[in-house]
Amino acid sequence: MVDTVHEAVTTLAQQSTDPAARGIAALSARLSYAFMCLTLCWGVLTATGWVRSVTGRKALRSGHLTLATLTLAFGCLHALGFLYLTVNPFSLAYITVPFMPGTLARHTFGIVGLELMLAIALTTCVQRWTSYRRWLWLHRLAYPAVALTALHAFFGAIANGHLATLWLVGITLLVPPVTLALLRFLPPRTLERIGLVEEQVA
Amino acid sequence: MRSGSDLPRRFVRGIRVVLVLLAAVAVLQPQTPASAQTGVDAGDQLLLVKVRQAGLWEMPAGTWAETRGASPKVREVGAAIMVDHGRLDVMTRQLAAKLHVALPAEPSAEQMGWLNELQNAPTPQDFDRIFANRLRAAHGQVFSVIAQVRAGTRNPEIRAYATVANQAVLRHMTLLESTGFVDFSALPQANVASSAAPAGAALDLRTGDVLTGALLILLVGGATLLGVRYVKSGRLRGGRLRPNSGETHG
Repeated sequence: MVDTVHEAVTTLAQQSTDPAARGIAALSARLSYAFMCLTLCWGVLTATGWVRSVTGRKALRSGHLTLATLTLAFGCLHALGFLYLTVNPFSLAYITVPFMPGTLARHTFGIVGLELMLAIALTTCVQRWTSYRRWLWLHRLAYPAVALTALHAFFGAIANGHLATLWLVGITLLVPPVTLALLRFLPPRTLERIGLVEEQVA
Repeated sequence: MRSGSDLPRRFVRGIRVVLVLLAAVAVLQPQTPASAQTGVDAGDQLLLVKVRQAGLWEMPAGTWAETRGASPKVREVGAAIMVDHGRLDVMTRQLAAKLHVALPAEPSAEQMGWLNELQNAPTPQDFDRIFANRLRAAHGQVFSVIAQVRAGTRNPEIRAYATVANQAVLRHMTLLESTGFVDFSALPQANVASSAAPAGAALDLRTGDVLTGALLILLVGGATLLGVRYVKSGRLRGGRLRPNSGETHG
């Protein structure tokens, strides 16, 4: 009888919490966030030419494309990782359709953000079949996409209890792209005053 | 228009401001213990300490019950509790080492008193009664701590650990009650709090945190602006207001 009890108690009824799958999802999310911030920085610098004297436009553009590809790769890995959980896995519909009933708002932010970025990346390939201005407007949707994804990351960190450890790094990575994006859309006169453009010589 | 030679001087001044801000952040940032850096709050630490503390007296109590219990049921339950607590103790020490939480090495004075009471039980029948009641009451106390931490912890490892501990302690209470010696009227009555933990507890920021965040934004934003301006100053002497429209995108 003692042996039976010994056997019973040594089998702890622990439900798997998928630490490996969740760890990969978290790591890919953090890498994607970091690359996303760098992509935006490189994008603004490519568009404005503010650091062109150091690198050249082609190098900046290639860097922007590489960083964007890494952002999307890790972002997709993060989303698809949730299909492989053994406890309450997400369905393919849940991670692809943003406004399904029951979808959490923070998940919707992430889904919309990632899908906008994917749309931007895919339309880069079909640029020749549309007008440049139309493509440019689509490309500029990257700004709200980054904002939505940053919100997704922020609320995700709160929900998972990681905010205390991640907020410092999260803010540090986010501030440069936000600063550059704000500068990008400042009126030329203001940029001239702060020394980012010089007066036009007639 | 500014002369080009002003820019390095301005940049140096900017760097000085940044250094002053950095020093301010370093002074304002409160020193956090190692456990705080690993995302473990006071409740998480208390759980590890309580479970470790419980194991320190329940393991020897289980061993004694296996050999000194009068009832076969008490002997079985004692063995089961000893084995289960052994496993839980290994898990507790591993997790505490990983999360840098200091654990007690000896039973508390109160627990030593219970062990003495068991050791000095006049008859094996008395031993059974003391064993079942003391352990059941102690398990009840640690059970509520585990439940609270399991419900509100922000740490996924602590959550998984609390799930295991919760199942183990519930099983022990059931086993102890199955001996038939537990006096339920002597157990402390349930004291259920009417309000749950606030959902926004994760956003309970201290003034220092807000200040640090604001300084960080100023610092990194300022450094970005200064950096871009500095790189830009090496080029475009009397250049254009904007890049060519054909090159603009994004």
